[in-house]
Amino acid sequence: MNAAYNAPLDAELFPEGLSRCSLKKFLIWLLPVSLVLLWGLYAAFKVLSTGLGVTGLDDYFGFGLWITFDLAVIALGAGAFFTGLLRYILNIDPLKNIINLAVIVGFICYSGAMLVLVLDIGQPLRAWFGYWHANVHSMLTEVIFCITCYCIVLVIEYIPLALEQRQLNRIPFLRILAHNLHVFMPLFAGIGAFLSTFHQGSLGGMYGVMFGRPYAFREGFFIWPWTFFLFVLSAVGSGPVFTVLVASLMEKITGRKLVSWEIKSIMGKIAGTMLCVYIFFKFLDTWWWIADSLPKAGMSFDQMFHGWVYGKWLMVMELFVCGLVPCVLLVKKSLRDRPALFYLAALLDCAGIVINRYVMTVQTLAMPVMPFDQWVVYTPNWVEWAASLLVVAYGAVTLSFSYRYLPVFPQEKELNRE
Amino acid sequence: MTTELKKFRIRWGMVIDVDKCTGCGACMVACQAENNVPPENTSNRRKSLNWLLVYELSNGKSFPGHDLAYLPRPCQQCGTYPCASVCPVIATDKNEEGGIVSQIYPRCIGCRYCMAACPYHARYFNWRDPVWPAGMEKNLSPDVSVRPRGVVEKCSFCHHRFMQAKDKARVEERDIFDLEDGEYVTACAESCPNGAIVFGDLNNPKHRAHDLAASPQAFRLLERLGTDPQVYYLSRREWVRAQGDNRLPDEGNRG
Amino acid sequence: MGIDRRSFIKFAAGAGLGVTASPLPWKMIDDVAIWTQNWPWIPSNPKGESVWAATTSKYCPSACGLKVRMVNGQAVRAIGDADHPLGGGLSPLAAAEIQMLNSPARVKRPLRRIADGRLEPISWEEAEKILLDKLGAAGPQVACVSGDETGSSLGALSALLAGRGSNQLYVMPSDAQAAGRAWRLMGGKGQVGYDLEGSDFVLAVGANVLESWGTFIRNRRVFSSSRGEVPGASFVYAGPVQNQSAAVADQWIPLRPGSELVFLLGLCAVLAQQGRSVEAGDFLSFRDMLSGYDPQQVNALTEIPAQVLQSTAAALIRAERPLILAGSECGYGGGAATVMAGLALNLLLGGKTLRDVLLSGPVLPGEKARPDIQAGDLAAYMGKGASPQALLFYSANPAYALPSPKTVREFIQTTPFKAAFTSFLDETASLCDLVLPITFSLEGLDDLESPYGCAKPFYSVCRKLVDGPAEARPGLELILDLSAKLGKKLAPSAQDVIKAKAKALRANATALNQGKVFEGSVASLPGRFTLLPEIMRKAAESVKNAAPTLLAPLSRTALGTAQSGIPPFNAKLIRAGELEGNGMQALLNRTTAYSRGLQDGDLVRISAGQGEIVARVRIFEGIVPDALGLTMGLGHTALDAFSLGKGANVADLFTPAPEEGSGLTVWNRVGLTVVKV
Repeated sequence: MNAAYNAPLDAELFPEGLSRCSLKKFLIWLLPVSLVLLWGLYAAFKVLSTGLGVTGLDDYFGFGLWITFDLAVIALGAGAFFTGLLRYILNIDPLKNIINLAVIVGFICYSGAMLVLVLDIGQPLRAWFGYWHANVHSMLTEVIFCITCYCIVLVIEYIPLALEQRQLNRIPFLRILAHNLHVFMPLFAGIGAFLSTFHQGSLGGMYGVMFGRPYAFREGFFIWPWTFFLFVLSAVGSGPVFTVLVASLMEKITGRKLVSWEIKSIMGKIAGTMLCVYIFFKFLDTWWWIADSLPKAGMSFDQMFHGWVYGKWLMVMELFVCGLVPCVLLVKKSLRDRPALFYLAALLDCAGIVINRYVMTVQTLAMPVMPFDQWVVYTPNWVEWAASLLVVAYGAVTLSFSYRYLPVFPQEKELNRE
Repeated sequence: MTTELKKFRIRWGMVIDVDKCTGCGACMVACQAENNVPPENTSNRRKSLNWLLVYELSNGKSFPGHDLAYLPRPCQQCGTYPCASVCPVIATDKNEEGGIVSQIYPRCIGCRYCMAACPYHARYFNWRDPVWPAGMEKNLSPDVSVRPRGVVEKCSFCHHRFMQAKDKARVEERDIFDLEDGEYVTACAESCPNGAIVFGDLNNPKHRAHDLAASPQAFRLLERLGTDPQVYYLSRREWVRAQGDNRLPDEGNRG
Repeated sequence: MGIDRRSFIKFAAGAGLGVTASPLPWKMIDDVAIWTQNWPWIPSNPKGESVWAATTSKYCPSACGLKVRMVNGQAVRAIGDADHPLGGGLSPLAAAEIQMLNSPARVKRPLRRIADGRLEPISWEEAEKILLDKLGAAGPQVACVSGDETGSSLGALSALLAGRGSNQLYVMPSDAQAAGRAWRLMGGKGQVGYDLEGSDFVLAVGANVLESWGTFIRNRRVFSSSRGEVPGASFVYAGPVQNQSAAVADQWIPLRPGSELVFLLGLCAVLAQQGRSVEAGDFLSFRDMLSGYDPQQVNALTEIPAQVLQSTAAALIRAERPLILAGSECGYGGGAATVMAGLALNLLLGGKTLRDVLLSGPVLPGEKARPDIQAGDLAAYMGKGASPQALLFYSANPAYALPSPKTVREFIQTTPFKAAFTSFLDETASLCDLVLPITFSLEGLDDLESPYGCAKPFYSVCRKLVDGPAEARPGLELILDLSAKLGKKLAPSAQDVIKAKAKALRANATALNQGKVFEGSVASLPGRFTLLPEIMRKAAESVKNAAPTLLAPLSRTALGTAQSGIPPFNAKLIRAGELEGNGMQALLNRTTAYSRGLQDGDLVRISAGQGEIVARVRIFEGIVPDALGLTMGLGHTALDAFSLGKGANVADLFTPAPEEGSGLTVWNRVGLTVVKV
């Protein structure tokens, strides 16, 4: 024990050989985060105690901000399974330097999404019916299965990291357990990849199968509508850069280098490549949607948009500004290697996927299908925002603690040598 | 993924004559009273339960060429249902002779995926616990249980009345799948003073609904989406029929 | 104690495993489905045998037939009664009638106004004592307003007043009243009736015949049967707004508000021109008067195309048994002259579908006949402002429904003593010194005789089927009791009044008491009529100076009666064209709106006379130019949350004026000032 005077009170818990800010500073940082957290908890309490009437959702928008948020974080959390897949199954070794973070972000995204889902369903006490009375024809059943299972996988992937906490790691049993889990990690990564691919797909499938909703409905392959594949691709095309963005944000906040540029660049290249594949098929899908699916429903492309709120600009943003542009920026090495462009591309990439999840959720429902019905506008209210921010705050807290007490970044010591 | 079209020996359906509907709303009130749908004092029409909702249709022309019509919209009890196929917990299904899309309230988890899937807005969510003004709960109808908050509900074609009619037929040792025309009708059909709603077995030639559904003036809502509704509408007015479905400008009126 | 950590953990693990392996947790989890469905705060259904009873709705203004289902002494559902002569289905009010028994607006115990202006509960003994004292002190200086035109309570009230030496009994103004006056003036004996069932061409002028006019549920049944496989009667609606009747009619003839009379006179003129005549002493002067209403002149006055007039007249002539129904969209205030012109037109066409429906007449000492009571003009009486000493309201809400409610409220407030016999705490009751709860439909013995519009004498006993609030008393019984206590015994009981009525109508009282209704035979029409062309001519004069923007009220039965307000079940029936949020919607067609610099969604201040309301412009092409449509039945300032704070009361804009000729107060040509806010 090299207890120094000026070491923070909780220095004993820090990862071996790394320095952290003072406990006071850490607590001050946690204060605003906790306030948001409390606000979110209050909203959650309102929802659970009085019902969903307190939200801005209604019978036109049974799905709203929360589902958009869930879908977005699940897509962005895809960094976990995809990085895991590449690291453990395809043995791309450098990714070990960011896999821990990817797992934590994935864990936060999935557990956060589940938290919001508990609020979003009207009968949370019956949530387990998805297993008990499963309708195997429903895409949502598949989503329930895979998300819950994958969340467990993420917990299992997170545990060995947690066990590497300096004090815990001293307990022989835990140390051995952590080691054994590490050995089995490729297995879990495999299971995770399988589960994750399926539910990312099923989330897309959920929309694609709604043949009563021309905005979302897509034909497809066997039982899977095209949105199934598009959602998988878009998730892997954005998840890795989201992980990088989180890492970079943490670097900004902590003032320390955490992940080397090389790793970030690899992640960007992976995401960029997948995004290209995604965008290619997305354009194909959009063309077919306009040329075939919509006319079959008796509807025109123009009918899919309304005013400013649901205007075509959203589509331009999604496909071009947040689609093609990041593709180019991430794939072309000379562009990718310029940090400003790289981060811009990463942000656009993530934004594009969020827009996609938003329009698939909200615009699908806003568009009148019966000719005598009208466009309706959805505005989430504070309860929905608060509960969503609850997850963000929860994520911030989890990341803060993980960073402070766990050896998340293998490169940290090396990168911060003074 | 699409749903298989199930074949039933009997198919309960409605034929609603738009040219007879004055939009008075008696059907909506009768429906609420029959099915214990709570009264709601909300100015938010998108948050109130209406198993049956009367829409106002306009031909879009200016005075004096303007015309309007009222179109009551119950659950369309689709043959190829967009809703039940997506329910993760089989809280709604179409598996009973008669072809009524069921809704099992104690099973529903309130995910609202069925609502998103239904293009008719026929499904409603209990955003709050149902509240009757003090004392009014004494006048609840005995046949339909009250739903708590957090579940989806919708028109059941007054399914309890089907059960009662079947029970009666059983006691009288008649074929429960060959009920007389009018032996089983929904509360809305029964309430309409204009006789705008005709209810019956679409497969049974002895039922009026069977013939009316075959009328050249009959149409269904959003037929081309492939939902195969069991609710038909009638109108002599071309423009009303045209509003039953979406058509591209170059397709003419009857697509 | 020798429990160490190890054994405790063992025990806990064992217990955990044991419980998990037992069916207990699984059963409990599975039961979640049940108890999440049956939380203690979710009301449960009544259980028990169903009992059905037939009756006639006292709530629905169309007096439709009901079959009431009861379980454990509680009414649970009302359905329509197709066998009832005025039935056939449910109106949106009859459908909500059962729930209205427990409406939050019900008055459940007697209330007295105390010094600080609030109403406080008192006992019936106290209430009765106050009432008798005040009535005793007022002597003949007592007036009464009744909202029930069809019950024996009306006659009983007249007898009670007669006992006090007063004849100031008024009914709430209605189309029935206007038609009553018209029919009387023209020589009818009873009440004018219309044989819809026997007609093959129904022309409704102003009368929203399929929504709110007359026995509208019966009207709608007849309409329905006319739409069968074999085409039956044609329905044509003429009026300012494409309303519920116009939506399904074979033809909508757009008329400027208030031009119904001129339109009818125009039709009469075409027929008279073709040599049609009426057995009437003053037919010649009537024909002379009509010469001022040939199609061109009518067109000049009202912009009704001459060709429309011609073709409508031709259709009427072609029809074998045409029927013209003249009335007002809002159900009152349309005046007698319009009805007279309608009747004259019927007579020119042979009058085959007109009926003289004889009423039972007085059965109590001092009772006045219904037409005599209808002869009073409440709006005129209250407008004059000479308050009596005591004022009684029986199921009437003039403070909401009469034109210029401000004047009415002042009239009521300046009356030293006012009491309301009411089931609902409405605007009028809220102004009274004493509020006395009476039973609502189905709760107490009541009756219903020949509502306006029916073709044959009709009588129904509305039996007590369920218990009302413990302290609510049946109205008729209460009036008899009061009269006796004031020193004039009218009849031993309500049942005796009903027996006397039945006897007068030659109906079987026993059958009536079992829920059967009585339908009498039709009296022949008077051999000779009087047409009184001068009344029509004078009334028609006022069409000439119409205001640039005219009010077109829209009736909507679902929004309740003035008395009850909006039934809780009906609050969600309000459409976007009627209210947006809680804001009133003003319907204007595009041309009218643009010519006034208004656009869809603009907030406007609409004023007429002393009244003013704020509404939002809503472009609606189913309304004639220079007219502004507003939905009636909104803007309540009393009753319950389902009625309060929703839109504005159109009656605020009604500016009453005496109808030239008949003298009846009318508000059928209300000129509006519309200013953008």
